[in-house]
Amino acid sequence: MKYALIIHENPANHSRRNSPEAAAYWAGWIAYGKALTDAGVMTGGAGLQGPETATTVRLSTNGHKVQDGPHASSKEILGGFYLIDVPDLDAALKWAARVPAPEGVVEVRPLLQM
Amino acid sequence: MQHASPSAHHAAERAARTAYGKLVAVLAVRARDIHTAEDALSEAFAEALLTWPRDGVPDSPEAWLLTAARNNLTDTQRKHTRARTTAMNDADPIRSLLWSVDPTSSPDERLTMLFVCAHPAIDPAVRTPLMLQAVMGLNAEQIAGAFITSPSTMSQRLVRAKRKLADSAVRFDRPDTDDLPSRLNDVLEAIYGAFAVAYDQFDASDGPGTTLAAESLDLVAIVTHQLPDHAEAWGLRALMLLCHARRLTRRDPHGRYVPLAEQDATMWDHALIEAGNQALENAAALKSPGRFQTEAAIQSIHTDAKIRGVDLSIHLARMHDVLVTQSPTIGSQIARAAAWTHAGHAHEALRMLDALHAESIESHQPYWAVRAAVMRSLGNHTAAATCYQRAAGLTTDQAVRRWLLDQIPAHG
Repeated sequence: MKYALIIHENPANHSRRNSPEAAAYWAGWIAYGKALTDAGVMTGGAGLQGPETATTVRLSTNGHKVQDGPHASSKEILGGFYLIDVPDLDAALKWAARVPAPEGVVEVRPLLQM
Repeated sequence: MQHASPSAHHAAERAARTAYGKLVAVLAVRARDIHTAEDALSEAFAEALLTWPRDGVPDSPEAWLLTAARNNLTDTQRKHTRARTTAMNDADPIRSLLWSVDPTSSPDERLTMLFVCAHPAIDPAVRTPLMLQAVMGLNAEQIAGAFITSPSTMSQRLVRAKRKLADSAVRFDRPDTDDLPSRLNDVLEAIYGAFAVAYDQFDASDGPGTTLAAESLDLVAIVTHQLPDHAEAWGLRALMLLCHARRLTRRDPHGRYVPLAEQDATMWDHALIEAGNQALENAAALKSPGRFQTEAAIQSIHTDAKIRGVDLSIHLARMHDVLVTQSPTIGSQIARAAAWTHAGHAHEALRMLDALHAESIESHQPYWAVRAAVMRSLGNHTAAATCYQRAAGLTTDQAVRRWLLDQIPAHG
C-alpha cells in the first residue's frame, strides 16, 4: 500500500531551520530519509521552503484571487511530505512515529490508486 | 455522606482510576464476560457523575460503584436470559455470585483477570493491550498510541478478544496446577509488556508513564503475593523494581537522554534497588532459574558496579550469554553483543551481530545503535557514523535521536 506522510511542523521546531541549531535540525531529517531509503520503502516526497515563500491562488467562480502567504488552516506549518510503499497502515504509522518533527503532526493518507 | 460539591467529578474520576481494575475484575469474574462488566461499570460511573454532585460523594465510592454496576449487570442479564444459549444464560448462579459480594470489602480478583487477559485463546499481541484496558483502565485511544496503531484497529482487536473469551466460555478462574507455570509465564510477559509501554511511550519522569509503571508494579506484586512459590514472578518483580529505581536519571534536567554508564548513581532510588535485590534473593531461594531472573540479575550487577565503582563488564557479558540461551529473542542477542563490546570484545560482538537475520534488523533501531558502538570500538569511525545515523532515523524518541546524532563526530 502506498501512503503519503504529510508533515505539519510545530512553528518553534520549524524555526530551527534558521537558527544556530540548523545543522542538528537537518541532521534529523537526513537520518530519517536515509532510514526510509535503506529500508527500501521510500517512493518519493519533497521538503518545502518556508511559508513566507508561499503564494496562494484561490479559485472561484467570481474570479480567482491571488494572495501572498500560505493557506493557513492551523498553527502548524506544512513542512513537506514523503511517499512510502509499505505492507499496511500499521507499518505506515510506525514510520510516521519516527518523523523527526517534535511536537508536530504527521497525517497518514493512502494514495489514490491511479 | 460528604457535602455535595463540585469535586464530585474529581471524586468519580479518582475512583475511576484507582478502582477501575478492581471493580471490573469483581464483576467480570462473576459475569464471565469482560465487555458486559465494563459496560455495567461505565454506566455506574455515568450515574455517579449525575447523582454525586447532587447528593454528595458517598463514604465509600468503590462500594457505591460496585452496587450500582451490579444492579446494571443483573438487569442486562435478565433482559438477555431468554435469547442466550451459551453458559452465560444461567443468570441465576451469576446473580447469586454477584450478590454474594460484600461491596464494602470486595475481594481482589485482579490475579484471575490477569490470567484471563493472558489466556492462550488470545493472540499474544493483544494480551498486553487487553490488560491495559480491562485491568489498568486505559482507553482504546491511549492503548493505540502506545502500540502505534489506529484507535479503530485497536478497538476492533480488543472487542474481538473479549468476544472470543465470552464465546468460547473461557473459565474466569485460576488455571489448574499443571497449567500454572506456563499460564503464569504468559501473565508475566503481558505485565512486562505494560511496564515497557509505560517507559517507551510516556518517558516524562512524572507523567502518566510513572503512574502506569507503578500500576504494573502493583500487578506483579499481586502475583508474588498470591503465588509466592513462583521464582519467575519474583524475578520479574526484581527486574521492574531495579529499572524503576533509575527512572529519574534517564534524562538530564534539559530532557537529554543519559545512557546508563553516565547516570548519576546517587540519584537512583536506593529503597527500590534494595527491594529489587530482595525480590531477586527470594527468586534465587526457589532454585528455578528463568529469563526474568537473569534479566534482573543483569540489572542488579549494573547497579552494583556503578554504585561501587567497579568493572563487572565480563560478568555482565556472561550473564547475557545465559539470557540468550533462555530467551533467544532479537533483543537479547543485540543486548549480548552490546555487553561483549563493553567487556572489550568488539570482534566477538560483531560476529554475533552479523549472524542475525538481515530482515529482522533492517528497521530495528537498537541493532544499529549497538552496531555503531561496536564499529567505534573497532576504530572504524566511518562505519560507526553511518550506523549512528541509521539508528537516529529509526528512533521514535527525540531525546534518543539527539543523543545518537551527537555521537557522530563533527558531522557536516
